Amino acid sequence: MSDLLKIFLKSMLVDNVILVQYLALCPFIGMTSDTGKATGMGIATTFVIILATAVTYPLYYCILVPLQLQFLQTLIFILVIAALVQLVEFYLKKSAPALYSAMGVYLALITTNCAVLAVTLNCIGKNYNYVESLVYALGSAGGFLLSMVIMSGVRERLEVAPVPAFLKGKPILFIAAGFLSLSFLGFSGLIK
Amino acid sequence: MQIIISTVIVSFVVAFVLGVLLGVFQKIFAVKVDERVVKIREVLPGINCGGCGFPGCDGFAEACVKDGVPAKGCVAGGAKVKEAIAQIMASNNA
Repeated sequence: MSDLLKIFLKSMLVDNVILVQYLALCPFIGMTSDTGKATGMGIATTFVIILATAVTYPLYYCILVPLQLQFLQTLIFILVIAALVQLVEFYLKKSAPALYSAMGVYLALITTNCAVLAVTLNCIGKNYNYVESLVYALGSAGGFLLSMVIMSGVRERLEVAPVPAFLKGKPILFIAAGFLSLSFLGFSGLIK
Repeated sequence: MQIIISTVIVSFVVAFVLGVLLGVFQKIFAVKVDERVVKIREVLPGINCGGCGFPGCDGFAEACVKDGVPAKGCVAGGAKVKEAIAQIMASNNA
């Protein structure tokens, strides 16, 4: 039990996908202009990450390993992720059209979101068992959601902050992202 | 040789299963689209040039029906497309 908690906290805080591993920076900058959008994107990506891990892990160990086709993992994983993203797209189009149109192209871009592929590949690379993989996926996805929400909060404050003219817009955003990343470095060494 | 065959078979099977699943889910989560949107989308050139200022031909077809964007907005289509869109809009409004 404590092992699982360790994996969860480590993947969420110490190895945060965005702020420590620098993956999935595209939605981090593109989708954080307001908290609602960022939360929607975070939840959609969370869903895809967890489902992708749940599907790719048995696929790898039950089909690819017995046939000695481990080299196919990237291809097959991408295939599964693309299908899952499409699924989320269908679902959102039906049940949350407003969110669907707000997310626009970024929704389809979850397909090429490196955080999703990284989590599924890491589960294999770290030799986790099935439960550990799911917890790792949950933690990583939670970390993604957490940093998206924090960043959107920071951005909403930046809108009204007295920022020097030459730093307005993207420059101050990158500086803020840097500080956020630095603050997450404080978690390193928290879990041995 | 065997590894090549199994590679092809595994990729095919996985892609096929996912394709079928997606097809099923598309039916389940089907959204009712205004049939004029579909019709207009069919008469548009379909090259997604963006000349109208909307994201692709799908975006233009939707804007045509929902926001009443004039049919002449499709630059690439010219007079023929304009005529066809006008007809579609007229036939369903009457």
